Amino acid sequence: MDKKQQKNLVLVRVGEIMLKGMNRYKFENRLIANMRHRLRPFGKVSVEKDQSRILVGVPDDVSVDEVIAALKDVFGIVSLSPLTVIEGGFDALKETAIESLSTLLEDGKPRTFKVETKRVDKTFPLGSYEVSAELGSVLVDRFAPLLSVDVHDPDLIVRVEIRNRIYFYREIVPGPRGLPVGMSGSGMLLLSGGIDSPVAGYMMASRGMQLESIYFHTYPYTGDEVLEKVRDLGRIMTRFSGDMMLHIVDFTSIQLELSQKCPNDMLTIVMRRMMMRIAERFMEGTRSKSLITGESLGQVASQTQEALLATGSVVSCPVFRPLIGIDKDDTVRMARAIGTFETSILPYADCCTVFVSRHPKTHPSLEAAADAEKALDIEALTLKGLEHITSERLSLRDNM
Amino acid sequence: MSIYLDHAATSPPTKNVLDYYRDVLSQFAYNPSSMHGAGKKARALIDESLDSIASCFGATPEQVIVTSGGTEAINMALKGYVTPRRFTPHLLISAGEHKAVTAVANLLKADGVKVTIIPLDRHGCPDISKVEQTKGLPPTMISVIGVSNETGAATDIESIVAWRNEHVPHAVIHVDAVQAAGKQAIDFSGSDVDFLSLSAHKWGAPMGLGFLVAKKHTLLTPLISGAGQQGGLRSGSENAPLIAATALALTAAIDSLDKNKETAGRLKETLVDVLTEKNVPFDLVSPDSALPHIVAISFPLMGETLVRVLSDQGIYIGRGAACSGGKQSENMALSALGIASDQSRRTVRISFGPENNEAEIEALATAIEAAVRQYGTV
Repeated sequence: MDKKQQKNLVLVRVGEIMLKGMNRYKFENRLIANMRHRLRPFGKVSVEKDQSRILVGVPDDVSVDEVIAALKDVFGIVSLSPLTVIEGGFDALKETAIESLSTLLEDGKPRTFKVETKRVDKTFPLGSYEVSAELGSVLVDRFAPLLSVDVHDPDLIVRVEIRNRIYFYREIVPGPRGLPVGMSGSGMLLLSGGIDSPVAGYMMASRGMQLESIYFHTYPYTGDEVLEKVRDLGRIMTRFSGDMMLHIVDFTSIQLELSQKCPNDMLTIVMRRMMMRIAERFMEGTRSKSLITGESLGQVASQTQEALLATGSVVSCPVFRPLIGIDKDDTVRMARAIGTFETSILPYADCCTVFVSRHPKTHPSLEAAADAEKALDIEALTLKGLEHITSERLSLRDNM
Repeated sequence: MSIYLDHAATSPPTKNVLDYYRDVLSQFAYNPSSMHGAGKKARALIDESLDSIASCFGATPEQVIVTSGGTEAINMALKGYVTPRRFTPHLLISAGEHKAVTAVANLLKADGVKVTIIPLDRHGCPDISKVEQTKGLPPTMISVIGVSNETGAATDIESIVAWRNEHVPHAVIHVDAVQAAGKQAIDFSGSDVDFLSLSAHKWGAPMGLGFLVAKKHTLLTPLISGAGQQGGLRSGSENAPLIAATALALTAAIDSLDKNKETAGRLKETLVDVLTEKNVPFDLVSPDSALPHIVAISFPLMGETLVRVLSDQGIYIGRGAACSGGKQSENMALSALGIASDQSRRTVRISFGPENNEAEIEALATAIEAAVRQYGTV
């Protein structure tokens, strides 16, 4: 057996997906596939179902901490524990527990503890209470006075699970929760070089959405360094979203026409409406069924209720704006946590900062928006956008 | 074929300098501090080269401290002189300084040094008469830029010296001459300037060398300690071949100072004439009094857009200060000239070298005309 040779295991608990009744197997299989994909860079790491949980087998030459860090990117995981499998009976369990606590107590700080035992294998000769009591007294004998029992509020919990084998572990590391990516279909993220859109993508991915992204490039107004930055952001996102298509629209000639033919105070709104139209139309040829933006209510002039109505009204697909009620500070905190912040704040102008209305209308009516576009051939511009899209695949491997 | 018009960022070495550099590199790559003959050969080359470098600036070789570049020279002058003073130090800098000066000034300020800004006049030059001297702490050092890296405006150093001599005779004067050296005659001994910072790659030497020319080097605290080279002021093995190549490039620049200035003036005129002829809308941002080799000029499109479009055609110009690392910040030198931030974002810097010619400027003007027509509505 493969697993028996691998002493290092990680126990992965899944939460929400258990609630999904008959779909459970689909969810589990998707999660396992996503975990395998995320762990592929580590080489021979195994991921197997183990009753209602998942066991990850880590070979000796791979760091368990790094595996756990990687799995924290995989949505659907509720918590993780580095685990030791006890080969042999109760004596072996005692040895393992003593070994594990010796390392921990090396710092000489006194701690309280308790033992929690879960006995699934009812043929095991000792009951769960007996295992806890017996192991507890062995540990106190060995480590007193550094270690003392406190069953109500202990500093640490020693956990034993008796199944077909005996498992021993101490830590429970929280996972990212959410749903496995891919369970909720696919969505098209309007990705810019800013702080918000990668976070919006993260939030939708956490609800099981597979992501594609679309970026509107306005060279030479924005430099190719911005495109490179968008690629970098996308690559960071593949850690939690899986491999992702990036569609790059050459938007310059459209943008130029807009700035020539539209009133300056409506330029941002009209530009966003064109982006939404092109993105929705392009989506017809892909698996995505919704658009995702990083908009947050009131953050800038184009993100008022009226402006959102004006930009959202040109498409009929769902438009997800997961940051709509999120404070900027919280968005920044999330961006830092998912690792996109440092890249997002690189100081290159993107088209949102180059092509801005000097005094944008903050409360445009739908009529005003339509009026601002009356000199444009919308269909021709949309087709022009669609003709100038190049697509590339961003992969987790490129992060390594 | 590319057209290089960003000599204020760096002036690539001529073939002559490169050939000589290759040659001395193959013969003199020894440690000048070594006792043996090879080391002595390297030391002799350095001595000879520093003699010639010093004489180009009317200085003595003892006054020349070799550094890694202009930034280090400036750091050495400001940090090495201002901090160790006994009384509360006070540094005067102009509003048009390069980041190398402003960043050090900010650092010193955090350490308790008082920093006062000298406003610029309408020609973009420091106007020292605007500094109130009746009250407060006397300045320890006055640091001004010799020629603005943004506009080419040339500071009237004599007016700074006269003001110092009259009001604060104990203050020393540091001139950031990075853009002035090799473009303007400099007579260090004949002036009352105390420190001069220089950067070799601006006058066509290979990159990696700068100089601090100092009258009061005994009062300097070294930034870099080690085996005590250069009288303990700047430790680290000296680079004989690089110093020699630098001397050659400098001599060439100084020998053709007037010719180069005349060429730059003619090219600037050509640029203005051709743009006018072609009906390209533009505003000359550089003041009339500026040195002609740096032309700050604005067009009705974003500076960075123009730089990219021209770059795609192999024409290389600068956008503001190339050293500022792509950051968008309010441009002090331009705002002093009454240029609003909108116009400053539309300003580019075209800087000529001795080998540029009229045909290149005509090609530049043609490319600008096309860029403004195609992208110039924003």
